[in-house]
Amino acid sequence: MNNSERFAQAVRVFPPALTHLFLGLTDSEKESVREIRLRAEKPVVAVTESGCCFLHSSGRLTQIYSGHTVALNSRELEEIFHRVCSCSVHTFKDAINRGFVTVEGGHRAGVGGTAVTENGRVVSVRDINCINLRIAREIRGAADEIYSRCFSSGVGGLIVAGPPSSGKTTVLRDLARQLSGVERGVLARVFVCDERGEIGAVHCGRVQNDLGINCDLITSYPKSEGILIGLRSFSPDIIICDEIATEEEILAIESGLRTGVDFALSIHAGSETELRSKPTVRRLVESGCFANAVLLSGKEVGKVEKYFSAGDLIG
Amino acid sequence: MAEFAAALLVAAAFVIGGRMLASAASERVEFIKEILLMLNIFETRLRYAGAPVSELLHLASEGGCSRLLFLEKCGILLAEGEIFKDAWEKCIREHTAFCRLLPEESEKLIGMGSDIGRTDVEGQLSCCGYYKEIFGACLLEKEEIFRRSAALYPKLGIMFGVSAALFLA
Repeated sequence: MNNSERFAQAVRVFPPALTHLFLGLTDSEKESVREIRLRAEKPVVAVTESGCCFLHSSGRLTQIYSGHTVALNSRELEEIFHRVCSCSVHTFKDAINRGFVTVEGGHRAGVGGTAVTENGRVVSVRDINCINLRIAREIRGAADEIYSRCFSSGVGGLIVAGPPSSGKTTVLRDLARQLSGVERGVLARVFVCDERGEIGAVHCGRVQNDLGINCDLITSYPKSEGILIGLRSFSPDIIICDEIATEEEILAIESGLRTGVDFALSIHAGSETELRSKPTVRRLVESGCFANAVLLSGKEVGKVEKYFSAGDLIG
Repeated sequence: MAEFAAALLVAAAFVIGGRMLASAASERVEFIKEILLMLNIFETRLRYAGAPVSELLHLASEGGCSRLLFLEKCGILLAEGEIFKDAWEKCIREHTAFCRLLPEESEKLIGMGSDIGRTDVEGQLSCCGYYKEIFGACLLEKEEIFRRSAALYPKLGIMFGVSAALFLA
């Protein structure tokens, strides 16, 4: 599926009239749209590579705001919210409380409204007033270079670091596909612990992204619990998980490393200095089970700024 | 001879009419039983898996609610991108046999479309419980009517038929 087709799939979540307008855009416009922002009583905004645009009622994108730009009222926004949730708010309640719902095709709809809290915890969200639909773009081959450098001699531990939107998740997803697919002839037993649902993009039980043929995926489990489930029940060669941060997660990884399982995981780090200064990175590298680490540049999705060997990082 | 045959025909018509009334009462009972079964399936799947509406519809239509033809149709419309509330109402109204036999109940069932899928699991379970109470009471009422009509209508049919036959003869 190309990006234009992915765009067409994403906008089907809108009411027919709005979908029709978006489908009328040119292919280049469709390909350039990254996000569609919907707000109650405000114009529809499409975020493209060249900036924010409004949707004109004639079915084209424009940077000029006028009385002819398409706007949504609260009722229409509520209808879109129900469409985003497949008319099943109960099924997506936890995701809504976390702030986003994965829709068919792996596209993510950020959902904002007024939080209903109980003991300081968000228990539900009411009065939805903004939705941000991010068009998912699965980039096959995003991990080609990393795979060749780090996995050519077999499965091993890898830390993928980078700033926000640098493509850490995209790289991990493509690694899962390559490690558990026939393409490279590896067919490793891959276990993906997808706490935020971004790697597999499961929607109503269906995995939306290609993670290869020998990959087991669990979604929405806290990583510390999910990793232990993987170790106990799936005997993987490698466990892949996104955005490692907490002590519990590190402890679960360490218990996995003791059983001989490898990990490919991502860590947020805006620069080399930040990567080197992170205690979690030091602790993982000192375990001796992470032979490689990469720092993504953030300029282009999946683009590597620097490769590190374990010694480089703690030396 | 012709008079006797005509009298027999009239008698038979009354008997058939009586049986049809009894059969409609029985059909009403069966419809309501299936609605209650549907609500039980919804409750079970909601409690266990928080299943989405599309799955609830599929499970109910495959799980013994064969009379509720609107379930499958509603699932199809939902998959095509229609909002559940609208699809639900449309499909129930299009199921003419159901609406004709149970006009009041079909309105109540349509009302359920505004609640399903709009709250958390607890809210959905409460909603199912509420409609189970309503349709449970309906079932008792319709079963009572059926019990009476099953015996009464055919007998009335025979009685009127025989009277008409005697009158004609």
